[in-house]
Amino acid sequence: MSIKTILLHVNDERRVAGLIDAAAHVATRYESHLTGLYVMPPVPTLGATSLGASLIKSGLAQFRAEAKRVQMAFEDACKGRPFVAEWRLADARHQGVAETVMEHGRAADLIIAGQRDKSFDFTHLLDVPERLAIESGRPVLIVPWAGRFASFGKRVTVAWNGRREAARAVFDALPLLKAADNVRIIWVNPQKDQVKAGDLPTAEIASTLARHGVRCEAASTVASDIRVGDALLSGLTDDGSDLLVMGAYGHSRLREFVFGGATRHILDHMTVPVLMSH
Amino acid sequence: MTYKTILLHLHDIGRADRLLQAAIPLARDMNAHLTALAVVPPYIVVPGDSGASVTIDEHRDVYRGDMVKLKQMFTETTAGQPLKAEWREADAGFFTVANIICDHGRCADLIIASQSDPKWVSSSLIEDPVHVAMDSGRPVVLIPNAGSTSLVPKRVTIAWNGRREAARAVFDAMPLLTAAKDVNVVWINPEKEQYLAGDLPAAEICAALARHGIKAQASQASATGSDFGPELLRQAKVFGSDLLVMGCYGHSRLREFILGGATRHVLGHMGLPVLLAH
Repeated sequence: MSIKTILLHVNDERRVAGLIDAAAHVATRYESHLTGLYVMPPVPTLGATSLGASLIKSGLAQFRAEAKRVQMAFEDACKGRPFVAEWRLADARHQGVAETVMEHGRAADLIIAGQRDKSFDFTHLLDVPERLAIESGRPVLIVPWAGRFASFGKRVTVAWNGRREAARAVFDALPLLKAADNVRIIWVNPQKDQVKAGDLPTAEIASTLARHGVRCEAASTVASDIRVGDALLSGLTDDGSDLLVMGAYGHSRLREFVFGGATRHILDHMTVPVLMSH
Repeated sequence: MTYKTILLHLHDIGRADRLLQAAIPLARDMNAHLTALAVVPPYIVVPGDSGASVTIDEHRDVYRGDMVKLKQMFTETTAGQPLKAEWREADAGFFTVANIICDHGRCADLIIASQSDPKWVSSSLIEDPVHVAMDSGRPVVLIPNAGSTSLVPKRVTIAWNGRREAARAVFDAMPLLTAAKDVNVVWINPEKEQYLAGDLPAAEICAALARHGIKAQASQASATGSDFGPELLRQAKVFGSDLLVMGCYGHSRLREFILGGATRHVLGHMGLPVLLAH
């Protein structure tokens, strides 16, 4: 299967170039239909005073102007590329930005979003990539806010722990894994004993992937005192991996999400694009 | 993409023929590795007369005898077939059979299991297709206790409501959709319900399927809450479907899964194979 429909969430004009780089890399390989989406934030419910109304009006006007600039940047960056590009402007109405992106992403093979830039203090965008990873039902490729990724996925690290979310992520990533030169499947073993190669818990998933023609190797990492997230990140550097595939762990509590420690750590400190699924 | 690794839960001598009739042609078609897994049911722990608990395991010995027969049936029907067949046995111990199926199934492209039959004496100890659908992270195809067993479907009905589970099911079913001649995406319009995320028109998922070379038509039906399940099955029948694809809706509460009404109805009354995903 290939990635034929991609939804790219672009709400920040400073990120357009970086996000298009990454999206174009995937869209070019699979001749996908790439949809760029800007979401007008939900209208804040202020009191019905004329002051409130004019603040809202000017705020919306600013977002509308940004949307136009993002659209132009998107269309410029896609000109002459070997894939179909579609632009969409949506309104969050009374739901959040994340919900709106998800609606548009339900029929996509892949959603691409930018890692949250913590210095960017627009609350309406606060939790978008993580909520997409957990709630959208589609795989989400999160692009780090630092760095440019016009090409990635030559050497892939897959974080495997035998759980449901890891299974989701691995099979969602299959088109990308098949395109890689090498896929390293690691089981981050929080104990101090080494595991014999034949007993590797990653052996079975490696066999399944090999049947799909994925060039993969089963490995394990011992993370005695360092946390799983740290172990994953340093492993990426050691291996020269340029893409990480992992399950997104978390659950909702009321309307907030509680993320697993490793998921949270990667979301905050990722150095390469990360494909997450739940 | 095709399914390259299929896990079949063989559990009941009385229904093994039907399960094998379903699994073998599919595995052959896809040139897949077919693993049949039989699982010894868990110990039963009950309060004893003197206050201490009693662990019952006679039923496990009886079942081990059944497993010999199941293995024989599997070996005989796969002998000489152009596919890789593997027999596996596992023991639920103090876990559940569903837990074990999930553990093995997480490394498979597809899990095949039976619709449960409350009249089967071992049903409550051995069958829990809902748990497998909810926790495996993989698509689960259930074979009905009566009706069609074909997993090389010509006509497929997809239940679409724009939610994440429906998206999961559609994309998980891709290899089966690709092989089918006609695909009908049914959007069941909920009357009296709020205009929620389920307002995504079926047209968009049809466009996404078309990009994968799948010719799908969109249709709409109407039903109120408790009629969703029956209406879905009716639509599938009217279309002459060999397979129904739908999301598995529910949530976990402590250690059980609470099913949505439509899912529950379909699982209780299905006359055709159903692919579930969560």
